[in-house]
Amino acid sequence: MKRRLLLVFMFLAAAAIPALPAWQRPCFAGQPAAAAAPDDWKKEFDDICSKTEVAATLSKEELKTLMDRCDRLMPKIEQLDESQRKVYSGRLKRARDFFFFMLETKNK
Amino acid sequence: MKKFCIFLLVLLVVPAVVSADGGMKKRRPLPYEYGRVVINNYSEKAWIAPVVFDHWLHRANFTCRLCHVDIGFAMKAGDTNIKAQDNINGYYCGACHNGKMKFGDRVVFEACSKTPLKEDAARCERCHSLGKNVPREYDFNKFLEKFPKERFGNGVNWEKAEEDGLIKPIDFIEGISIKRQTLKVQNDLEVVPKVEGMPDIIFSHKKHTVWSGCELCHPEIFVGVKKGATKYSMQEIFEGKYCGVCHSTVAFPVLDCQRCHSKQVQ
Repeated sequence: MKRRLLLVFMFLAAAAIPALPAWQRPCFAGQPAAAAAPDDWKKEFDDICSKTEVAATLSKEELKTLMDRCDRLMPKIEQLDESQRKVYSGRLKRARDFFFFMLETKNK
Repeated sequence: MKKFCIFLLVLLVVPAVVSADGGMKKRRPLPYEYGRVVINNYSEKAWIAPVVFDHWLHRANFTCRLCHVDIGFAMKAGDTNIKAQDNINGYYCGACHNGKMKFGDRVVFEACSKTPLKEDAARCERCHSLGKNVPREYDFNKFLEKFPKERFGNGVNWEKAEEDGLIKPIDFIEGISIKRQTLKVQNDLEVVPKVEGMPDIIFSHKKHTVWSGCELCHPEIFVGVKKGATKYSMQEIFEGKYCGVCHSTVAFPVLDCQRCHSKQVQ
């Protein structure tokens, strides 16, 4: 009986987690950041795109890292609704193309 | 006789068709039309007039980068593929035209409504105005009467207008733009033209980056960053490629030779 009650309690607690605001939810090990907080893609997006102005001063490694971050972020943006997807995928592509362009320039 | 008549008809019609195809002179837009974009992705399919967008009013208030990088409008007409739903969702035109944003002491009108009412018709027509005689809220001549004059394009020297403090284009909108670090000023670039005797082009990176940033031009318009990496001809520019992407549509047109070919000839 005690075990059954514990099971019901655990089930109810687990069901209540998604209803909590993002900052109150427990964070599980190995969980991707985007799943923990839905707007994290935006923070990553802003951080990546804010680097375009200083791209000329970045090293090849830094530019490659930025391109990798773009590639990792793109699938998350592709899952957004149509309007958001159009806007943010276009902006991210523009930023990635620019980082690649700067990298090519440095390689020449 | 009949055969002769057909032969005569062919003789007259063919040269006329050929010359019409290749010899038509393109009409130069009037100052208030320069930079006008007609957006008709879905309008006519939805039985409403296409949108007429005048660059002059927007460029007087906002930088190129704000709309073409931060808001995400493509550089080529029609490529953005805007839908009314995008505007309703607060993107593209709807990023500012949302009925909430304030510009000076006025509220920017809402671009599109999910369920437009009959009384909204006048508001719809502020943008969906092709072929209609819609009174404009801002009169071109009145708005620009005190601006420094230029010979071509809108007839305005926009660069001087900014220097004189007549315009202060906004480059940042909270919630849309990204806080960027200040760009290190790049050196001016000297481009030697192919035609002998033609003054060299002094390309000012500073002037371009202030309004456009980096990623608006590179690599979409100019693939190479190093001097001479992108080879292009005046003909291509006249066709709307390279410098012509902006300098045949919105920025001063390439007819104004000495604005680019500005190095003193020795």
